[in-house]
Amino acid sequence: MGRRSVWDDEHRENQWGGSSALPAPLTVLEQIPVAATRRKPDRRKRDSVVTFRGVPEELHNQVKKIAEGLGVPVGEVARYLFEFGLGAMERGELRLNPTLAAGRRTLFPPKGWGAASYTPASALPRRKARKGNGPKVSYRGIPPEIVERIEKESGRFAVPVGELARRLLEFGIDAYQAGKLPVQTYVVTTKNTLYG
Amino acid sequence: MKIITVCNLKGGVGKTTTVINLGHELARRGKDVLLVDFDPQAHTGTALGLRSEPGAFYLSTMGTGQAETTFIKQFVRQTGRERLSLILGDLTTNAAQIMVQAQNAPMNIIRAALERFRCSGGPDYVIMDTAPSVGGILERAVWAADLVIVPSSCEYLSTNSVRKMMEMMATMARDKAWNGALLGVLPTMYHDQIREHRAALDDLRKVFGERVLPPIHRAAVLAECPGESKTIFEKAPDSRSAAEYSALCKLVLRY
Repeated sequence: MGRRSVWDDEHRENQWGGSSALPAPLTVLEQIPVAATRRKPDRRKRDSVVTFRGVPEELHNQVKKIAEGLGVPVGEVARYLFEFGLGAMERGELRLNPTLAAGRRTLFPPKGWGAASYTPASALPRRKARKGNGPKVSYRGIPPEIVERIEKESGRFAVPVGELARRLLEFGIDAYQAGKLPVQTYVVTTKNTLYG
Repeated sequence: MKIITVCNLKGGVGKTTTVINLGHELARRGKDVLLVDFDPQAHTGTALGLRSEPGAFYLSTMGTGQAETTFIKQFVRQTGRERLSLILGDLTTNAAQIMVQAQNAPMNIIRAALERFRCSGGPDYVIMDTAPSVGGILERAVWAADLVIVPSSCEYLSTNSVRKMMEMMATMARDKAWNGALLGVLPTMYHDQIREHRAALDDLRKVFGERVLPPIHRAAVLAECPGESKTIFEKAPDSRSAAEYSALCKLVLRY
């Protein structure tokens, strides 16, 4: 007798409790999902990544450290801090005092808080704003409503969006470190859903 | 975080060797990798020079609360290789297997247990080594996987076990809402001078076509690695085996 193929015996009982055994060798791959190569993230997913310019790396590292401590994604911590900061702004607990610096309004004047005094823009050397200079950070999973609120508030105070984001993160981190920001993490169990 | 399960119902087909070398190569390429040893023989840890302990037992039997997570994270061991860590197993994994079966634990128990690592600073890849046994943890480890690699030595009995694995995966996809996918069948210990090996490889290719991954050739150096607690990339980085596992890693990174 010659060598037989393991796929010759088509009608063996399926020990895994399935209703039928594999019908024919060539259809095996039709019954098993096979892996597809990675694709570029779709637009919807890509858009959920929000980038802020002007958030220092040390601050971003603090956010990452909190996320690691809590065992949650960095984006979720950033979202939590933004929501907390925006809420505090609404309640009047966080007040912004923008200062005019080098012809633009800023929350972070070069000489520190409250130290900057008004200098006419014409008296200062004009510098062309270069977008590529500021440190950038990206957070995934920030809902568009939060981004809109940050943009709206930054427009209201006429300060860059990134600076407001930096201030909100700083405020949230200070509150977290002072124990004023309660954080409760939840375990999400995987499940099958039709409405993911 | 991508979860990869390496499994075959037959023992001695190169599951552990694949887990170790694939994991190390992914780590060498800058990915954070966590290996999980669900084999009660605990050979993954032994081959990397670590002593066995009941990490896999706790991982598969404890809840998913914060306290349990803190406890289980204590069992993540560094292997001494950059970005490569490991949850070890020991004979208690067998007890976990019995518990999982006796309690008819939900199919997502391993997946839920691994979700705790999906966080900032968590691994990019979790690679699970499984025991050559039926049901229980093996089924749940496959269900947990995003990608399944089925190593098979090139002989009749091993390919016969591949068939059983395929039956299991087909049933899971049909009846248990399995969301994972087969990455491929990995022929191992292949020797092109042996007629049976060629026949078995042909057999696999007839059925799986391009899902048969490039074979890992039989090599003495692969067998020597565990004795020296080295991976192939430490023992013989210029060998054919290293190149083959490196190619496998490159392929995995595309998925």
